[in-house]
Amino acid sequence: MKHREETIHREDLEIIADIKAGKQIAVDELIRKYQKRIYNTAYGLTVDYDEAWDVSQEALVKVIRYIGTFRGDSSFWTFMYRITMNAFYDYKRRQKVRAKVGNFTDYENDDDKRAFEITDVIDIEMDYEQKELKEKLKAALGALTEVQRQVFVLKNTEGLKIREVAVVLGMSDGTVKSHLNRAMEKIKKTLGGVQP
Amino acid sequence: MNEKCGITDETLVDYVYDEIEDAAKRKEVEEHIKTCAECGAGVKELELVKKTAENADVDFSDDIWDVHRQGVLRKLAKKEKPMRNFREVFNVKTFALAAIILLMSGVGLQLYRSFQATQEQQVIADKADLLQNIDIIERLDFYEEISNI
Ligand SMILES: [Zn+2]
Repeated sequence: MKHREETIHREDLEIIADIKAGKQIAVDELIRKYQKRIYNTAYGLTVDYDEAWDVSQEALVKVIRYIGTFRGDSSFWTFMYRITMNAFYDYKRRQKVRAKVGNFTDYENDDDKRAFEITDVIDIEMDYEQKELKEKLKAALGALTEVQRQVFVLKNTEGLKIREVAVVLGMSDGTVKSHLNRAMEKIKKTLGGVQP
Repeated sequence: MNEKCGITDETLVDYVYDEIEDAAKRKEVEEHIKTCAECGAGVKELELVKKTAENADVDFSDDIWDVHRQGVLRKLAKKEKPMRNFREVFNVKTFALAAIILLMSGVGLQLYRSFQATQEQQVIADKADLLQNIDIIERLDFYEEISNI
């Protein structure tokens, strides 16, 4: 669960080079390696299983399309995280326009003929208490501001240090801390009634 | 939470995430929560939040991830479709929007640049540039879609 990738892995550099060289198998490899992590990042942003599915796919498309712009001077994960955030904002913008104009185009949608409901296929093999905790956490995440949620997810799901979160989000350490503290406070209250 | 013992909520959060860099200070907090019931309970609550969040990853079986991956590949193939004809792509509406977007992001970028001082910020600015560019390309794609209704 703890990802902590400060530096770029050799393996990633090889995959990136292969994608740049046009090797289809490397595209596959990259998706397999990062789809779960990007899905969960997208889930942290959307707090919605279906939206996370679409946003993570869009993000992967962008990562692969723009891989030529990755110069290797930052962590590859930071690069992907920012693209995922960008895909999320883009998705939200599109949603707003759709709401206004109506469903005028099948833009990027219904592309993925999913013959199942995501909630039916999620691996849930935990006891009742854990399930209850996770559901409460989901509700609590939804009640955070967007930036609080980003900080919280990077800190917990990604296991980054304050300093690293600050670099990824382009904020000061102090700002990250204050968002984290507020997020923890809110979530603590929501989880409060449940015993570990 | 606990003003009377001088330990703030922020300190407890730092403690739970092992972000207190000063070893003496860390030791002090560690000893304190053993004896202070209120801070001890606070740490337990925060640890529960941390543990729950760490284990909250959504996972699917391999065949579902495969559907996810196939979807990405389909979207990639779709985006690589050849450009439409010139008139369609470069209509006036698209150009006007592109100009406005470029202008606006230029102003934003200038403002952003004026605030940066350190080397580290330069790195962040470079990334922001990149994202701005991605954003513009994406928006152009999007507005192109709209203008072709
Ligand atoms: Zn105390």
